[in-house]
This record gives sequence, C-alpha cells and structure tokens, in this order.
Amino acid sequence: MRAVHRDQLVGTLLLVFGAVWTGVVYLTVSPGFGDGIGPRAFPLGLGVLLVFLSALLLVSGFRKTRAQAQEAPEEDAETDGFTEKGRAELRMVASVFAVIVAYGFLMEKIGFQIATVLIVAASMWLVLGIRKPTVIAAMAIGLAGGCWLVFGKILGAYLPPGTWLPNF
Amino acid sequence: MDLLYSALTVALAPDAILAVAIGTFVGLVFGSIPGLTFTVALALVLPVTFSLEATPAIGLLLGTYIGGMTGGSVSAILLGIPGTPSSAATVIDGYQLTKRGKASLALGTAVIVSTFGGLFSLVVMIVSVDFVAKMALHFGPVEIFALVLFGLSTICGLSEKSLVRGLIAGVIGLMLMTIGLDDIDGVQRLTFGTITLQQGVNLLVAMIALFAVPHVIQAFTEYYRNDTQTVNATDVSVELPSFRVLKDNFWLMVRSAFIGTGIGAIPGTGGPIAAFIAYAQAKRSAKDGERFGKGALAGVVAPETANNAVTGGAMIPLLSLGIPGDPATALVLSGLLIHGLVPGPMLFIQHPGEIYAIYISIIVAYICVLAIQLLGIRFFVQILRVPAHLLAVAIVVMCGFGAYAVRNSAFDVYTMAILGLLAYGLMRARIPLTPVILGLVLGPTLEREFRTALILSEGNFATFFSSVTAVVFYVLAIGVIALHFFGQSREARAARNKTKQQQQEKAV
Amino acid sequence: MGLRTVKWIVGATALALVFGQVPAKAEFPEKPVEMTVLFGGTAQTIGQLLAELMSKNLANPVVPVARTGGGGSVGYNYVHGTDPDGYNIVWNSNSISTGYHGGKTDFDYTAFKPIAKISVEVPAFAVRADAGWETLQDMVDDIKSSDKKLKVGASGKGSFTHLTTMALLDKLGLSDKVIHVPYDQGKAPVELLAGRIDAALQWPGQFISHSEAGTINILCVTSKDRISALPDVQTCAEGGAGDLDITMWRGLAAPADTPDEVIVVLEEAAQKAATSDEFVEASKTVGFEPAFTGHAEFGDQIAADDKWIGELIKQLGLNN
Repeated sequence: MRAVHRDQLVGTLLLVFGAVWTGVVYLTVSPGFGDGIGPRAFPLGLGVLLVFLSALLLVSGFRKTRAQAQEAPEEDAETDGFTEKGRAELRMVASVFAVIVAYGFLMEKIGFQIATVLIVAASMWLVLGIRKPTVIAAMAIGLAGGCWLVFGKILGAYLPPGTWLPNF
Repeated sequence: MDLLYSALTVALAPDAILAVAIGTFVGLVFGSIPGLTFTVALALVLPVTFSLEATPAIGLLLGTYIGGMTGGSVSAILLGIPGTPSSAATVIDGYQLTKRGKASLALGTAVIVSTFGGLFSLVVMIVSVDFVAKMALHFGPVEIFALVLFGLSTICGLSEKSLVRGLIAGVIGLMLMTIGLDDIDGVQRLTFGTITLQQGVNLLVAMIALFAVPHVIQAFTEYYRNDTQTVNATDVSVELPSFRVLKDNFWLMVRSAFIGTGIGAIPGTGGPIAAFIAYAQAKRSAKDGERFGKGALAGVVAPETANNAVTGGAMIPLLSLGIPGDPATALVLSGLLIHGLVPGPMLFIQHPGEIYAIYISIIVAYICVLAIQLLGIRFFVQILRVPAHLLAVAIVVMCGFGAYAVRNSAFDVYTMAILGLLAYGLMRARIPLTPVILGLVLGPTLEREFRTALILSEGNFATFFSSVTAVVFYVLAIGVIALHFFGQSREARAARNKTKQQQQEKAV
Repeated sequence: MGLRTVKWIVGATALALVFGQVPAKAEFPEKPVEMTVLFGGTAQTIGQLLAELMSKNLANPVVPVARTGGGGSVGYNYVHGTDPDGYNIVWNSNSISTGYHGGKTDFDYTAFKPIAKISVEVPAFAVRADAGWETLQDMVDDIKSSDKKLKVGASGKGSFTHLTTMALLDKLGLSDKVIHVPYDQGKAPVELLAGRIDAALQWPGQFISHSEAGTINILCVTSKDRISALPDVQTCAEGGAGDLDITMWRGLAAPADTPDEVIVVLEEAAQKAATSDEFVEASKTVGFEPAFTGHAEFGDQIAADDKWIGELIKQLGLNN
C-alpha cells in the first residue's frame, strides 16, 4: 500500500467519522435557547469542518496518484498488515490496548498493587515474550512496590484499594 | 524596608527553604515522569500544607508548581512524551536533539531558560502588578476568543508538510473536548445518556494517551522484532550549554518571556498556548527556520522560557484579582485561603509582608530548580541506557496510575487506551499529533468565550469586531496563515527548480 | 524456571502486598473510609480539611478522593454503586438535587442516607460600586424604569448560583429583565469589575477583597440571617426580596442502605471535626460557615431544598 493510497483510505475513514459525528450531534444534542449559539453549534460545526477537510485530503490524494504515476513511488513500504513488520506492529497495537484496558479494570477491582504486578508480568511474559522469571519478578515487584512506597506511603496519594477485595 | 527585612527572615528561615526545596523536588519528579502531572502533585501536597505555617506552606505549593512546570521538559526531551501540556511544544525539537545524542545539552538549556523565564516574569510581576492586572481586566470574552484563535493559527507552523493534515488534527482535538457536560447550558453532549461520559475527556489524560501510548507501541514492536535502535549508551555524554548559546538566543529568550508573562496574566489561557505561540514566533523569526522540527536548540529555548514565564504571569490575576488561571493555580489559591491570605486588591495592602515572602519563595524555588536539575541531568540521561522495552513497561504503569489519579476514575484509563489507539492511527496516517494537543487545550476556552461573548452582546455577532485588541489578534492570525502559504509556495517553487536543475544536469 | 515458578512468585508478591497492610481492628472503621469529593475549589479545600480532622477521631483515616465531573453526577454515581457498609461516603451538597432535576443523574437524594450537615455557604449579590446602586431597591427601581436588561454573572445554567440568581430576581420582580451570563472558575467578579456585566451572584469570598477596596458593592446575601463574614450586609429578604432564604449546605451522606450504627460513628466524628477550633478558624478565610446538624435534621433540609430546586428547575424549563 503506497502513501497515496493510504491518504485515500485515511480521507475516507475521517469523512465517514465526521459525517457520523455530525449526524449524532444533530440528533442527540439540544440546540439550546436564548441568545448566543447554544450547545450544539460547536460540535456540529466541527463535524462539518472535519468532513470538509477530509474531502480535501481525499481530493489531494487522487491528484497525487495521478502525479505520482509518472514518478517513482518514493515512500513507504514500511508498514501495513501484509509485511512481517506490519503484522508485528498490529499485534503490539492490540496488545497495548488490551493491557491498558485490563489495567484500568483490574486497578479498580483488585487494587493498584496486585493489578500492577499482574499487568507488568503479563505484558512482559505474554506481550514481549520475555522468558526470564527473575527479570519479570524484579520489574513487577519493583514497580508495584516502588509506586506503593513512593506515591502511597511517602506522598500519600490515593491508590485504588480494590472493590472486589474483602475487608481486611 | 522593615517589611522586606522581616519577609526575608521569614522566607529564608530554614523551614521555609526546606519546604520550597521539597516542593520543587516533588514537582520535578511528577513533572518529569511521563503520565504523572504536577496538578496531581499539587493536590497531594495541599493537605500537607494545612498543618504548616503560612510561609512554608505557600513555599511548598509554589515550589511544587514551579518544579512541575520545569520538570515537564525532562520527559519531553528524553522520551518525546510531554510531562505537562505546557511542554508539548518542547517535544518537537527537544526529542530530536536527544535522538542526535544531545539530550544533556537540551536539558541544560531548558533548565536555564526556564529559570530565566520564571525570574523575568517575577520581575514583571513585582514592578507592574497593578498595570498588568488592569490589562488582564481588559481581556473579556471577545479578546480571549481572539487570542485563542491566534493561538490556533500556530497550527500552520506545526503541520510540517500539509496544512490540511494539521487542520484535521486540530479539529479532532477540538471535537474531543466537546464530549461531556456543557458548562454553559448544563446540557449533555455525546454522552449517550451515560453518567460516566459526562466527565468528558480530560486534557491531561488525552495528552498522556497521545504521546505515551504510541511510544510504548513503538518500543514494544522494536523489541519484538529485535531491532532496538535506541540511543547508544556511549552517546549519552553530559554537555551543558555554553555561555555562547545563551548569548545567541538572548533576545529570543526575552521575547518568549514577554509572551509567556503576558499570556499567563490572562486568566483561562496559560502555559500551553504561551509555549506554542513562542515556538511559532521563534520559528518564523529564525534565519534557519527549516531547522526547526529537526533539533533546533531555539525550538527548546522559546517554549521553555515562555511556559515558565507563565508562572509569574499567572500569579498576577491570582493574587490581585483572585482568579486562578488553571487547575494548578486553583490549588495554590486553596493553599493561600487556608492560611488566611484572601487574594484580591486588599491582599497587597493588608499583607505586604506575605507578598514579599511569596516573591522570595519564588526566587528560592527557581534556585532549587536550577540546582536540582543541573545536578540531576547526569542522572536523567541515564534513563536512555535503560532498555527501551523495559522503560516502556514502566511507562505503562506510570501512565495507568497517572491517568487514574487525575480524577480517580477508571474511565480515564479506558479513555487513555482508546485515545492511544486513535493517536497511533493518526501517526500512521501521517497526521501530526501536536496540533491535536493544541485543539484539546484551546477547545474549551475557544467555545466558552465565543458563546459568552454572544450572550453578552445579546446575539450580535458584531461584538467580535468591537475591540481593537481582538482585531489586532485576528490580523496577526491572518498574517501567520498568509506567511505560511507564502513561505510554502516559495519552498515549493525552490524545490521544483531544484528537481528541474537536477534533471537538466542528468540530461547533460 | 518455568511458568509455574513465575506464577508462584507473582502470587506470593501479591499476597505480601495485600496482607502487609493494615492490621485488622474490631470496631468500625476497620479500614480507611473513602470520602468522595465532587468538586475542586472550596468544596475540595473544606473536604480535605474535614477528612483530616475526622481522621483524628476514628480508628482508621478518612481519605478524601476527588471524583469530579458532570456537575457532581460522576461522584454521586460512584458512591451510589458502592456497598452500603459505611466505607464509602460522599461529601455532598445541594448538587444532588440540581443534578437529579437537571437530568444528569437517574437517582435522587433518597439514594443516600444523610450523616451530618457540616457547613453552609451563602451566595452574595454584588454590583459595581460606580453603578450608583447602594441598595437592592436602587437597582430594582433603576432597571424597572429603564428598558435596559440586567446582565447577571453566575455559573452555568442549572447550577446552584444560577438557580439562586433566578429565585432572587423573581422575588424582586425582575425575572423578565435579566440576562444570565455564565462564568466558571470565579471569573464573574472580574467581569463585573471590567464592566461587562451589571451584577454577579457568587460566593462572598470572591467579593470581599474588592468590596474592601471600594470597587464592588455587595448588596445582599441570600440567607435568612446575615452572615458572620459580612455582618454589615443586609439579607436579600431585608432588601425587599420577600422571604428569600437560600443557602448551599455541604454535608456527608452514605448509600441508602448503610446501617445506622455506622452512620452514628461517622456523625460523631464529623461533629467533633466540624466544631473544632481549627475548622472554625479555617472557615473565616476559606469563606464558609460551620453549621453542624445531625443526620435527622439534615435529612429534613435535604428534602425541603430538593422540593424548591425541583420546582424552580421545572419553572425555568431546565429539566431536560
């Protein structure tokens, strides 16, 4: 996939997003009353602006395609879903997303300390494929304990204690 | 003179100096760790001040505030992740300098110009607090709207090649901030009837997501594919800026400090916009403007001077009018109130001694910043020796904690994950991320001031041209855009000529 | 070392981190009590101070946790969803009523059990000194005799200060001659000084310094009795606003099914804190009045306030 093709893809995605956004805003946000422009005008205007700008991007993408047909394709074969690097990167995108979501969820449910130990261990073992238990243990315990000590104890920050845990 | 003397004895008492130093240190730590922000640090420090005497208490808060403001540049320069929204502009050139093995130079410069900016604004504050406060009063909704619009025009300079992409990024930032409860009409927007979404997207969370998540993804991928190309450890030398560097950039520092102080004094704007405007003017006025974005030291000097000059500027409306400019100064205000210092015009008449003590505490804080940071540089740069993937794991933890701590809400961690995904997508689509931050920072102010102005004028749009100040800002904004197009077309022509020449040479 | 070893290490650390904490005690609270704070600014300052003082009288500390956003609805929703065991309480205010009637939450004040009222804040109504309005009546006469509308600064639509403004101007017979200008972050006094609005209804702390400097006239306070911070300022009722009596209370509440014996323990700790010298001292500069009442009386006040807030919101058409 060449850069220009990607411009068209991005332009289309943004165009669709802008259109959906505009529609949803129009339907769900109250237009307001009285002087001034009300709460709907800004998000609505921004949605329309995004549609306009992504259309521009699309158009310039097509123009570039024609121009570049004569010249050599300059960039960039680096990443998409078809190369090995692209696959590795997509895998990491999904993993990092999952790790953060899981972290947020676990932090609230089982508390900051255990969640941190689990998340650090999981991202090192499952995501990065590190197979050195000592390194994993050191990182997991070091980070969880260090944060607990510095933020929780010394600075008195609130660390979520975990709503699923019983009283102790 | 007696007052000054007694203020000196109070503010330079060992406990007061210690309080400022501790505050500065805590602020630096929170500012410099990606994911943690100094607003959180201030919230943590505030209850501690309840049991202290007034001067050390305020010193602790001011130290945290100032330390946090300067600390933001550390992770911006070393990792490309801004520690505070104010240091987002520093990333552009600071991180490039690190990639070229000049991390310590960038860090050292940042500290020194930060101190310069901070002290400059303090002097402005001392000599002209009344005048500046009057100027700040002049800035109503129309004027602030115009200023913010001018701030948005700096997107031009940030969008690298394509203005359309920069604008798309800016619009996405503006859009994100409209989600949640609208303050003016109390109406829910895009919450889909849920209570959780009413809290909307938090600026700090969005900032963490935009810069830290793609960084983590990149580090993980590189490790996974065994092509770690981090900075070579031997490159991590400690090189401090020479006196010459500072001399060469002196006028830039003065200009940036002016920008920072002025914008800081206008409530509701603050550090990020000052940093971006300073960066943009530095880029425009530089002879070698094209070096910006590729590791120009002036690209660190301008935003860092300006965002620290904001600290002094922001103290003016805070102390003389009682309005906090942002959540951070709001916490400083709480600390003042608890100790019986009610900001407002009478503060300067009723508590002149305390005012002097505040001034002195600010000076002490900057001395601490300078000392701690300059000594710390050799340790900070060691972070580059840590394997990037392990550092990334630590960043995940810090960002998870940091995002949660902003409002103690798991929702913010989820938001971070989603916006991180978005940031990665935008990066891949070669849409620059910095304008997104600009949109995020300026969005709420832009909309609020626009609507307030219309309510005040009873719906008459002519109000936007009723003020000379506002018109000046519009003209400046148009000028920036025009210059950009002018410069671009010239560059394009130059490039075309060059290729033509090369083709001719080849043909020959 | 295989996966099993890692699991063991991870598990052991987890256990050590969990159980290495607070030793169990018999009486309530056996662990820290979480106090959800809904707003920044004054609410947070008072809340943090209260939590600190309460901690001195309890076996375990009270931890203030800021959960802001959505005009308080986010924090209410969080506490509403927690177990009713007394370990989650909310630092509440009239915002429970403005939020419910304004359509931000789908539960009302009955979702919480009152613990104690702690403090009261009384909004003040102020005008610029050079407007020449020395009393509320001056202003009313002036506005009524001209075709000018009064621009009043208060927080956003449906907020407490907005509702108070509308109630006050209604009693003064000016409800159709007013333009509400929404301001946040305490900017209303500055806009007043700059002459962009004619009047502002805000917390007294924001006006006092300007009033002492002679640039702002505080015309009245909205409570039934004068307040200690402004002994010379008459009440709005004295100034001709009928029987106006609006105050914003802050207090503590827990989820509805919290057992009474727990409520009583917290109430007692709150009483000691709210009547301590430190709290009273802080009230003068932070700008609130300590006003402790027990849970029963507090409950009555919440219900009474909910009634008028609900009616006013409906009347203004803000119940979207």
